[in-house]
Amino acid sequence: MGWTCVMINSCPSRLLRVEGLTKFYGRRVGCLNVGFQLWPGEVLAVVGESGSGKTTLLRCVSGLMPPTSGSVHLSDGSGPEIDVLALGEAQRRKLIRSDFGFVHQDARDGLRMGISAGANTGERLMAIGVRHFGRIRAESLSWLERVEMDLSRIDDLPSTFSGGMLQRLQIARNLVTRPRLLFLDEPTGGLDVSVQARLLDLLRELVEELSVSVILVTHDLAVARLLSHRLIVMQKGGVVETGLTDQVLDDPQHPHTQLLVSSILQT
Amino acid sequence: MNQAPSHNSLPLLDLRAVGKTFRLHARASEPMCVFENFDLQLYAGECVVLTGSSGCGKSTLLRLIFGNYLLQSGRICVRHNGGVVDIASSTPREILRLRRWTLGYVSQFLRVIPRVPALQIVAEPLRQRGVPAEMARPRAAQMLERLHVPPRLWRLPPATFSGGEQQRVNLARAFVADYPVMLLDEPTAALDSENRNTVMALMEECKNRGAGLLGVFHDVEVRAAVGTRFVNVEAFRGNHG
Repeated sequence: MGWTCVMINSCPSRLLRVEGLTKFYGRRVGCLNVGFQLWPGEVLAVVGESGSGKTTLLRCVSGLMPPTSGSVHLSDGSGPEIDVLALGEAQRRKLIRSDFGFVHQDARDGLRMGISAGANTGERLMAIGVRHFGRIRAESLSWLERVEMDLSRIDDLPSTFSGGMLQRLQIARNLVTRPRLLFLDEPTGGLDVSVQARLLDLLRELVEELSVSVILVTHDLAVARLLSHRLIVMQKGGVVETGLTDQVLDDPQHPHTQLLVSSILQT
Repeated sequence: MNQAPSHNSLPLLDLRAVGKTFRLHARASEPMCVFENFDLQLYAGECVVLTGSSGCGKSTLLRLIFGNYLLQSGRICVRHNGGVVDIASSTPREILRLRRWTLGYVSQFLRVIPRVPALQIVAEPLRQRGVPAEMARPRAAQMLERLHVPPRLWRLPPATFSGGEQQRVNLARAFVADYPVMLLDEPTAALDSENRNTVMALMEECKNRGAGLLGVFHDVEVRAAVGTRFVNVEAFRGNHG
């Protein structure tokens, strides 16, 4: 009986299965034969130096860019797995809108700079079929509040916002539709350390509360330690080491991981 | 005194031929073998004290069991939820599950998420098991009180606390949940005698409820009071170290 309990608890259905993902830019390697799995509520960090293929991997998995080869399967726990790369353009867009969120390093890439903050969150809701204006407004307000935006700024254009505010708005815009999988590409890159700290606390709290699955790309091992359960270390497009986050950082095995860990002051 | 209990029950921890070697690639040095062929069975109700000089691998052994260091040779089987789980072949998710339900660990120094208040840190192990905040917080408060952490500090992150206060937050977090196995790395190092007595009482309570304790204790008095068996890690020193 004990075993049965273990088995049931240990196998909530897998959310994502990535196999042999490879991307070439001409003859240059973007990422090479990367595979991993992700479970609901799990935070996976992808770390490595710039040019190691982290962002390429993230863009291929999230459907922003077609890989050269490999597969990405998504499961919703009930029906059969969805072969994400085999979907038609319309279906793929629908899936990305309803199930995925993508937070870009530069918030300007993830926001519509020409419409108000409230419209930025509202637009995502409309895209998944919410039509009632009052509800859209209320949901937008509630999310802007959760990411600690000044609500008096809801009708302002994002171009008048600071870097930290833009990033919080981008997070609200992505979470408002309650995605099952959130992609974070260097979410705190380029921000002041104090703004960074506050944003990391916010992300950690939201991820825990919503128990959303996350794939986080960062070159900052301290950020990976703070937010992730599991780690993938990349070098030259390939995965050199993977494991429990604290184990990889405290007892790194691969020469490249040892170099990365020894290069930081403290994590 | 130094005999393993001779009962029929299965051990809580079963370590077989465990070895640990560190390889530092950048130094191009010889691999450093800390210990090898280490065997140990930890049973319910006992407190095994790891002995041996500094650097012989006592803390390393605790970290291997906790999954914080990678186990490359030997097996560490943990009794968990009616079954047995081998750390060596466990996925990260399985290790996290062991840590949530079975393995409690008091590290030498508190290492926690910055900017999180002490009370929340101590309540965290219960919250992770699904205990609602309104039930977890009073239990966390009770444990902090028992370890004499003044209530005015509960709402503050421990970064600015003294070494002793931080260690007591660390202890409160480990003792707040009833883990079947407790791994203790010098739990009383930074404590005054009153708090040391409290920790000895907490460890005694763990033994009485059937938990197994495995630890490093430099304090002779603590060793004598709580230890039921002594194992010298130095006896397993590797040939290359």
